[in-house]
Amino acid sequence: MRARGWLGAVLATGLFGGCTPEIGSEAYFCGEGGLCPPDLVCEPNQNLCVIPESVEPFACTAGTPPAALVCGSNTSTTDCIGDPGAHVHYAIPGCAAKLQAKLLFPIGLMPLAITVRDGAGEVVGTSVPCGDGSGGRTAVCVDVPAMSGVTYDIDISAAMPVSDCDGTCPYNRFALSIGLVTS
Amino acid sequence: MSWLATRALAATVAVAALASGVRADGTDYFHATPDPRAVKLSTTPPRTGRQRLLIGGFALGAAAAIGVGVAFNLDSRSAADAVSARQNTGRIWSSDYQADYDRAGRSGIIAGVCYGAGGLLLIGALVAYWRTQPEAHEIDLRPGKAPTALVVPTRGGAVVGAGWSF
Repeated sequence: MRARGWLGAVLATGLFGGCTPEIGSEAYFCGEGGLCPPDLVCEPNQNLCVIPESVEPFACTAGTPPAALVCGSNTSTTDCIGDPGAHVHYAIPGCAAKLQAKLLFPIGLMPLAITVRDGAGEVVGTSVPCGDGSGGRTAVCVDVPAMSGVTYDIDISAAMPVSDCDGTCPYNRFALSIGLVTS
Repeated sequence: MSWLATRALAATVAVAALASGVRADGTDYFHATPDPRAVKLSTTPPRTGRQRLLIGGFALGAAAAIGVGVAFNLDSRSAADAVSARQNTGRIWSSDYQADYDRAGRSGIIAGVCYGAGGLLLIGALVAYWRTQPEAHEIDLRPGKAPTALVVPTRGGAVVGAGWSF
């Protein structure tokens, strides 16, 4: 029985080939820097590894602007960064609460970051990685104490140093959620 | 002419008569007639130690090469299975997956090389077995005198045999 098992194992290995991985188009999300399996490329709109013939140019559909925030509320929006030097700003009136923001973006395109500045333009917080999101995305978060009477600027831009897949992915899209959390 | 023909016919008849006389004599000068008492013995000598070593070396090498090939084949299959996918996996392609992909190809090549070497060694073992096959020798044992009968009494019977001298 044992010999038969070994024989079966040997035959099951497919002795003369059959060990080349078979990876279909859209089987994997793009990895960091647009990393994909051999013969596949990163499709920037779906963030999936696809056959080269299926690639479409990067396109951005901006979401609605974030709703006005009051203490204890939160809001969200979507938008894009079209080049490494671009910035997207959101003005958030502060209150006696914590200003929390979470940015989700595809890991296969240009990494993004959040910078929070106070009314005087001083940087009061920068984002740090806070886990992976679903759908091939990653997340960065920022959490800073806020004060009433101060309008904070949430600045979304390319993370430094800029990593744009050697010039092939100088863009990204994101989903941003912002909250003023009272303790 | 008639005289010449008569002389030739006479000579032919004389030679034929002498030849038949010789054959009728019964003496077998060339041992052409098999001796009914002779024993034919067929023997095959064993292979030399060097020949056995050669065959064993080829066979052992073939087994080792094929064994290593199977191990790399299994490793290649394992790595290939780890990354192969037809449908969306929900996973992000990473350097770890790329390493598995590369290992599948590398181990597959090594397995192929080992199978090839194992096959060649196996053929070598078969050829060596065939080429070193010793030839059987037939020995014709002719007794110098009549065989001697042997009867050895044993408990409840006897062993009966015959002995020849050469």
